[in-house]
Amino acid sequence: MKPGNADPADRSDDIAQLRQHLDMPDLNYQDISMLVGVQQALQRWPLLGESCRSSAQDGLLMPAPKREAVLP
Amino acid sequence: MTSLALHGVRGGLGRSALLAALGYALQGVGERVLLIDLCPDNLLGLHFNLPLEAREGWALAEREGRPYTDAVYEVLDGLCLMPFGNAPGDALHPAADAATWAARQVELAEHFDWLLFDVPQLPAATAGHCVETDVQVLVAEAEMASHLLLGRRPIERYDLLLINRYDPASRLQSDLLMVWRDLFRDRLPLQVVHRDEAFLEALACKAPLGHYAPQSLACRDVQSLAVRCLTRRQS
Repeated sequence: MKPGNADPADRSDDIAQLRQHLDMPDLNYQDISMLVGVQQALQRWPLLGESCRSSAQDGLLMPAPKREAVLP
Repeated sequence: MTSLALHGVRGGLGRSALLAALGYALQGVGERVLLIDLCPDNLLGLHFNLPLEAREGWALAEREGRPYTDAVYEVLDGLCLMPFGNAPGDALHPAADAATWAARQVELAEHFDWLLFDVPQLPAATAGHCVETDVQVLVAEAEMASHLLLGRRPIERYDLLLINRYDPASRLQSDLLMVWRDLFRDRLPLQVVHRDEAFLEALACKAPLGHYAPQSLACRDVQSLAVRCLTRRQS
């Protein structure tokens, strides 16, 4: 199975567990595969893309604030 | 005692069947549960084998000047049900509002660990709910109407977004779930209940899902939901 193609319903919150394990609640992490998947979904379904662009302007359905990627 | 209600972004999301299944799952782990039907459709009792022609319910008792608690059925040990009731040819218009139900929750608290409310679908523009509960669950399906209506809801009011009838084989549904995980990240936890024919069959057999199909995928999802609810349990 290719990464990022797993059923999203089965997606466990590994990052939350890692934050807890390291006792670093503010650890910044960007799930790149999910970001790419979200962008592809917004392009695949025009109404979904339109609604997310429109609601971002109206403050409705605002995506969570983007965090900076953790780079080595 | 902890109170909980399932609210829909729209109607027809299977909330009554979900609530019946959740009540059964909580009873299965030893909780004392009262299910309260606030919907004039009066369908919740059918999930627990009440006769189709049964009229008794809290709204009927209210209209006849009797105590609302006249209409409590013990359907299983530790699992009670209070139907809405009906009066053939004459729609019931209950007087009970959110303040009345707040007082009733206090009265019922010593007898039950959970009060689960089956609430009617109110227009999106309606401010407030017909009952205020400790745990507020918002129910949606992974489809575009739910997505658009979610954008009109004050999501900070809710504790959980429950995605019902989820089909992982659907590209659109898995895309929407991914987008919602991103949109609501850190703001609203998501819980999935998979699409399962057993839900429909259970009502046809007048039983809650966990009784009719305890090995079904949706039943395991509802048990997960019950465990999540237990983390919100108040003494």
